Amino acid sequence: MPTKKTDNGNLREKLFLRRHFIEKYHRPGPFAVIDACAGSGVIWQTLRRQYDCSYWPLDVKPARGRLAVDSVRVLAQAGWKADIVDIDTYGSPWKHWLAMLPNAPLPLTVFVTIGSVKINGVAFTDLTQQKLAGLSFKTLRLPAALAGKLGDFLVSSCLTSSYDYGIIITEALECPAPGNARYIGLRLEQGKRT
Amino acid sequence: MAKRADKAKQLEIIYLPIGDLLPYVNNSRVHTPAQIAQIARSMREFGWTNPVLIDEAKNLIAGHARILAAQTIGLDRAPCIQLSHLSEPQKKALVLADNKLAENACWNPQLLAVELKALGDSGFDATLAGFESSEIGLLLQPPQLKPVALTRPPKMSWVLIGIPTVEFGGIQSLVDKIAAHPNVLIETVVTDAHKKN
Repeated sequence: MPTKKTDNGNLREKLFLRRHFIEKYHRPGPFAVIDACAGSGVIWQTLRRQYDCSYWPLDVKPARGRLAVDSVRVLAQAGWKADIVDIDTYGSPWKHWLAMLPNAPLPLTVFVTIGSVKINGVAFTDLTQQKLAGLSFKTLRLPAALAGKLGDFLVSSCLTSSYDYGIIITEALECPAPGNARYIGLRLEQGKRT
Repeated sequence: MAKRADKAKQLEIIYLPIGDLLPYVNNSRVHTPAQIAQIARSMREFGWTNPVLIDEAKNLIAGHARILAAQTIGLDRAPCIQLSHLSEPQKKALVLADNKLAENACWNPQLLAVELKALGDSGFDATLAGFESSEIGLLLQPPQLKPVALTRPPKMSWVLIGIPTVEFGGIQSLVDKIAAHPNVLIETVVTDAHKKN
């Protein structure tokens, strides 16, 4: 049974990462946040007590206090404005990432949570991730150790796909945490299309 | 409205026997024995610094946990502020607000860590402030951020050598898929080397 390792279990690390970027780039505010996978909204519920920000929680599943829309489609539309996009997905953030890049208002801070799916100790790499790195195999089953090595390469490939849209990453920091999920914060700025 | 606010400003602290105070029957706040013990320790250290709130009939509005803690350490009188200007709904709301409004705040972990460290350095037992030892340990060792290695993959060349012409058709669709990626260049060398001259 697949286990997706992205929940609020590492709230401390997620908050620490977000606070670092907010303090550096957005304080004292006000700033605007799109929470692309709001879930229970516990991360920004906490941060909103501390910072002056407007908050747009989006999630596919309807719930009180958030917009029930496919945030990939929202981010794929031109014209949205935000200072921070939070892609704290339960799994892969890359569809959101790809959808966002052509329309991203710069400069922009983005948080991504990169989960992993394991079945009986075998890691399955994400298909969107593979495609971004030019690997179009339908099924790529790897031992966990090898998947980890490939994973670093794939993450790097996916993130730097922003360069195709003239967006440079001026800061990329990860907050290591227990479990398989990776919590990464990015600062995107205008660069040259390459 | 202004009259009511004026009344609230003229606060007096009166000391009443704890046995005279009546807990609110519908108090929805739950206090664990561990928390009561924490409050009792704090009272021993700092004294009773925060009076409880009561109405005209000595019904408790706020301070149930302090009363319980005081009883565990043998105190028999409590500092009280008697609020006589509140309506019944206001009393009900204040019972909740006294707990909930404080709960809505949050900590600045960086500053909190500085304060806890200063307490520790001065030899003061920081657990008297209500923090568990393990919690203090975590706060004093915050997570460390590390840079993510970002290397844009170079334009890749996939060189397929030695594939017999007859088998190349079988992998053509795969090669086309790979070639569709903008970062990939494909150079194929299809050989007929297996054929005998």
